[in-house]
Amino acid sequence: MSLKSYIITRLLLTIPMVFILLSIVFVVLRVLPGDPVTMLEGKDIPEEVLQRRREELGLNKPIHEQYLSYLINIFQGNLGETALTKVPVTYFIIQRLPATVELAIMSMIFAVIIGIFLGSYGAYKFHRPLSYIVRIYGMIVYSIPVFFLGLLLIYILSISLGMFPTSLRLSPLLEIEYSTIKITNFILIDSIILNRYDILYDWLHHLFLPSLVLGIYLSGIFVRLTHAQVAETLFKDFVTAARARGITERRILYKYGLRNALIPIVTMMGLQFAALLSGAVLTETVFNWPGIGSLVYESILARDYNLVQGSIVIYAFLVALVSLIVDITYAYIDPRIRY
Amino acid sequence: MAPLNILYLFFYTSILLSILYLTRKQKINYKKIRAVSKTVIIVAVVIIIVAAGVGLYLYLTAPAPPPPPKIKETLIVGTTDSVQTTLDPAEAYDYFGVNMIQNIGTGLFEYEPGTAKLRNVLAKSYSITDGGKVWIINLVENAKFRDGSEFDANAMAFSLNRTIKLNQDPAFLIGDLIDKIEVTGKYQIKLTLKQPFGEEYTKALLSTWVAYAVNPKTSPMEVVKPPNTLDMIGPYYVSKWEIGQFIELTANPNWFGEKPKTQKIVIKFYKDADSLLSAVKAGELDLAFRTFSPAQVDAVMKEGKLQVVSGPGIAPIRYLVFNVNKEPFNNKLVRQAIAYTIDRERIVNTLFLGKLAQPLYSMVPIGFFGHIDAFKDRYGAKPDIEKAKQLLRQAGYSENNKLKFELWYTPVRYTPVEGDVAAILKEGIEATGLAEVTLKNAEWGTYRTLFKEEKISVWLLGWYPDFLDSDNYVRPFYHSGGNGWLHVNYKNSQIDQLIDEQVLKSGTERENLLKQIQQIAAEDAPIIPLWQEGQFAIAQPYVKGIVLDYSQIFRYWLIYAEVK
Repeated sequence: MSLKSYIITRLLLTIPMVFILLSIVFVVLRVLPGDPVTMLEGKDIPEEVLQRRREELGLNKPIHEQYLSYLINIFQGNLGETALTKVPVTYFIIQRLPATVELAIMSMIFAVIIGIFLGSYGAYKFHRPLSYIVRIYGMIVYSIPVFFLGLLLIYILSISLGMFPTSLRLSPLLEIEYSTIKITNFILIDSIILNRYDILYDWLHHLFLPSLVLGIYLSGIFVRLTHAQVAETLFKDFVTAARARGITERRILYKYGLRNALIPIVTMMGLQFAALLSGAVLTETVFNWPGIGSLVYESILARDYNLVQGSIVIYAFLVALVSLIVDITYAYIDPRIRY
Repeated sequence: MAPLNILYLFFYTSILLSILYLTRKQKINYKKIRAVSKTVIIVAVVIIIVAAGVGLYLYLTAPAPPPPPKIKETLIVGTTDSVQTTLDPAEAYDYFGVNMIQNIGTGLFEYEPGTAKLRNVLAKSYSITDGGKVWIINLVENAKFRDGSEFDANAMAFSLNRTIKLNQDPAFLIGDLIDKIEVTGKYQIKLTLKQPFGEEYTKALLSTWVAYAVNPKTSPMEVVKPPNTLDMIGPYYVSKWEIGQFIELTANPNWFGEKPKTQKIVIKFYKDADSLLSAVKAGELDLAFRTFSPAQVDAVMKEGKLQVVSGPGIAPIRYLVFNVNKEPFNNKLVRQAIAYTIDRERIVNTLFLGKLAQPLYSMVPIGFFGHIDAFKDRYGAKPDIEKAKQLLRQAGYSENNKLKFELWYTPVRYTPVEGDVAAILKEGIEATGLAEVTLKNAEWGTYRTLFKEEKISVWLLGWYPDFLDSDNYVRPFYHSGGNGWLHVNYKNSQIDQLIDEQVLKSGTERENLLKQIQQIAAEDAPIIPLWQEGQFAIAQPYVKGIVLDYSQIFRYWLIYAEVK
């Protein structure tokens, strides 16, 4: 199979994957007690008003009718409206997804830089104290609850030292300004296009701490994985042969050791990135980052079926895309892999 | 940094660099050290003299005294609330949405800040005829909508009719009140009520947001979806709204009343109280309102760096509900026994630190017209375990046949201490030795479904009023025609009659009726009131004008920040 055929096949397989995922989510949401109208019922609203709301939302129709009607809408590209505010679901996804992508990319950069560098160097210094320190670091950072790490860094770096903002994506006043001039809702792109480097700086200032927290947390996985993979590779015969030929240690570590250990690391990067795209709910909550993870969480609590389902559709496509990119990357890392 | 700080920094840095230079790795030459030490001392002395001289010069040539404080043009506010539905007064029914509407609109009457008294706003004057059934209201003649359109009787009639016809969640507030609306002059309307309701009761309903004026030229006969808003008459208008992120209010140039002190208000939405509090502490917000836990408020008070503004709380009031159709709570003796075990003081002192809430002995809150401490009079202020035991034995329970039930609470919706409240209640009931209580909890959606489907028998709840009248604290709970939403299944024709009668009366007559209602409610105990919480705002020291009163209206137009 050629690479082109492989890509097309993978993309086509995404459709049944999304369909199965949506069906599962549809059923699970309706099994949960309560519906969007339930959220209003803490007040003494007349029953006929509540019934009318249920009718408007189609909640009093048989389940199979609701399911079919939803699928038809999805295939027509209509993700529906939110239950109580009647705002199109796409509004919230467009609003929140870029923030999640930004956080995911930056966190992954931190995770990879810290994780791969420490892991490789720790493997290189195998059986030395540094190697043990690196492995302990990996265990500790992955064990610390991410919200605790976030709160700790907020307290030290934001509240006590005043170096970084405690939360949000932009300062409130700049956020208002940005909301009137934004083009793509990706601040990096928009600020460059619009020559608004004050917005860019403010965004980076806000992005640093939450992505550092997530990055440190995830680096624990990469440190351990890289350490194990690189250590195993460095003991192989071809590495000994390379040393015998006089190749420098730096080249041995990165070109021979790390590159041959990259396949599982890239796989893990893909998996973690996909997980980040679904939204790091705890980090988003602690830092009040307006991402899609907290959106899904809030909409589950609010029983906003359309919003949950719409977010899942987007997430499924993103995950499929990320895993496709990971697969294609294999071919570049390891020339032996061909499609 | 002040000039003196820079000089000190320079001074200490020079010393440090000098020492580092001298202690770099080399063979120690003591003769050279002595010579160098002398050099260092001389250099240090010179630096000190220069620094002192410069400092003195700067001090003597200090700039003129700072100008008088200015008012900040924009105030940044944080909250964990958000708009749940829309900002259309015909539909909004959540606290924050309603509060926004109260800052961008107004109606015939409003509560005077700091009091529970109603005063005229769009109503210039009124008269009541036909035994209380007909209201003739003369309107002000100088009010304008934001687009400059004149406000008149047609606009007022349109606004009231619109709410009633759209018949959304809160429409019943005036829909059950008004029978007919007529325009009897350019600035006069005539309201015929469905019944001759009492004056204060009617004014309280007409002061609610559902009766606010909206521009008939631009307001459609359908609910306006976010982020759109209607053109209203108020101190502010919504200039920008990004759903779920922020709302920006800007002072309305056409507002005919007292001008807002701050030109713009930016309200940022936060997901939880911890990040909200961190933002205030870090100086990113000027003020934060709703919702902090008692421990957070107490910690801020003790720290003393920020100001905590408090106000009387009538919302939420917290209470315990029994489904009186389900065993064992279909037996009044059991409900009364539990009422005897409630230790409100302990809840308030332990969980609300003795100052952030008050024990509540009636569903009508303290400070409200007609309030009496009905449960205190009936069951005492403190738990009476012996009496409780007596009643349980009468109901047929003993050490070998204990009363067993599940007590439910929802962990997140109200306060973070719900589990602790439930634990204190359980301890009290089990102190009789004749009961076994199992605590259960569920998140709100599930919780609401459980009591709606009557799968649970006793649960904790809270109540936010729709309007400031005692009727809104008795009818939704005790009237068989109004308490259906609660699934308490309590029906008492005597109390129904009293509730129907009290809205038609005023003054002492009404007060007596309300007292009777509370006494019967305490005797039957289908619901046990527990406590009422105070309101708290946390702000920077320079923020002024925050008023927290019984109306529960957070008036942004009074708030300002003085900065130098």
